[in-house]
Amino acid sequence: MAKRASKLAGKIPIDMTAMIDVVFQLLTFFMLTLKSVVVEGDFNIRMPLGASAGAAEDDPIPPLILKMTATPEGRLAAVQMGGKTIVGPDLLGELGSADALLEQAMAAGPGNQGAMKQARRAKELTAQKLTAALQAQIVDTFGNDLSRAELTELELDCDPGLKYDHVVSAITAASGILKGDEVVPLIQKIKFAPPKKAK
Amino acid sequence: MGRNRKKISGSDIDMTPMIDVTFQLITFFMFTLNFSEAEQDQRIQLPTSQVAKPVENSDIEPLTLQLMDDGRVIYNGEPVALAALGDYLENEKAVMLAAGKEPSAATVVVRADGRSRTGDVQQIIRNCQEKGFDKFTLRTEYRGP
Repeated sequence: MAKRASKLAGKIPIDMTAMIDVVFQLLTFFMLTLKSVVVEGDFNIRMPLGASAGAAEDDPIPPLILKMTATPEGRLAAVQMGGKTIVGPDLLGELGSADALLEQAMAAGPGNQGAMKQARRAKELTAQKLTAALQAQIVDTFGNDLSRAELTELELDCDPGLKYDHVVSAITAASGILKGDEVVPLIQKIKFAPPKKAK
Repeated sequence: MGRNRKKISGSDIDMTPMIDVTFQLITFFMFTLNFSEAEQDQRIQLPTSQVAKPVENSDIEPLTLQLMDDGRVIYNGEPVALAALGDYLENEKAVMLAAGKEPSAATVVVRADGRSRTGDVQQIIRNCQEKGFDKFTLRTEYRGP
C-alpha cells in the first residue's frame, strides 16, 4: 500500500468507495425519514390568570361569545353566537357522522390504512365546512367594518366534553379569512371562557 | 485527462465537489430530522387548520405539553396523568426561576389531539396559569390553501 501511495503522489491515495457508500446510505436514510414531517401552525392565545376571571379592562367593544355545546359523546350539538344558533342541523349531522366514521376506523386498529385515510379526509372536509359556516357568521357581525374585528375579543364558551378539533375549527374561522394564498387577519384576541364549576 | 486515466487504475474523477454537496445534504437532513423528532409525537393527531401561523422559534425554549386523546399528558416523552401535571409544572417553574427568568417569559405549546376533550385543554391551560405561565400556543397541523 505504501509503495502505491507514493506512486500516486498528488492524487487521491485513499479508496473512497466505502466512505461514499456509507454517506449515500445516510443520505437516503435521512431523506426518507424526512418525509413523515408535517407542517405545523400555531394559534397564540395570551391568558394571564387575572384576566380569565372576567372583567373587561378598558375594552370598549364587548367580547364576541361563541358558545359550543356537546353531546355526551363529545360531538358538536349546537353553536350559538350572541344567543343565536348559527349552525344548521344538516351540518351538525354531517359533522357527527364524520366523527363516527373516524371513531370506527380508529377502533378497527391500524390494519386498514385506506379506511383510516378516507375517514380522516372526510373529517377534515366537514371541519372545513364548519369553519366556513362559522366564518360567514362572524364576518356578518362586523358588517363592512372588518378592522373592528382586530379590536374585538372572542370568548369560547365550550362544553368540557366537546372534542377539541371543533374548537380549533372555530378558532380557525375567527382568526383569519383565506383569500387566495393570503390570510386576512380577523380576531386576534382569543380566550377560553372561565370553566363552569360543574364537571 | 485521457492520458491521466490510463496511468491511474483507480478512480480519477475529482470527487471533492460531489462529496461536499452530499455532506451538506446529510447535514441539512440531519438537522431537520432532529428538530421534528423532539417535537412531533406519533401518539398525537393534531387537528388541522388552514390559517394557523407558521411556528416561530423563540429564544427561550418553549414548554411543550402534549395531550393525548385519553386525557393523559405527554411531558418529557412520558405520559402522565393530567391531575399530576401540577407537580411537573412546579418543577418547570423552579428551573426557570433558578435560571433567572419569569415563567411568563416562556411560551407553553399545547399540542392537543383533535379527539381530546376541550375541558382537558382548558385544564392544562389553567394549571399553567396557576404556576405563572401566561403565553399559550395551540398547535395545529397546517393545511395550506
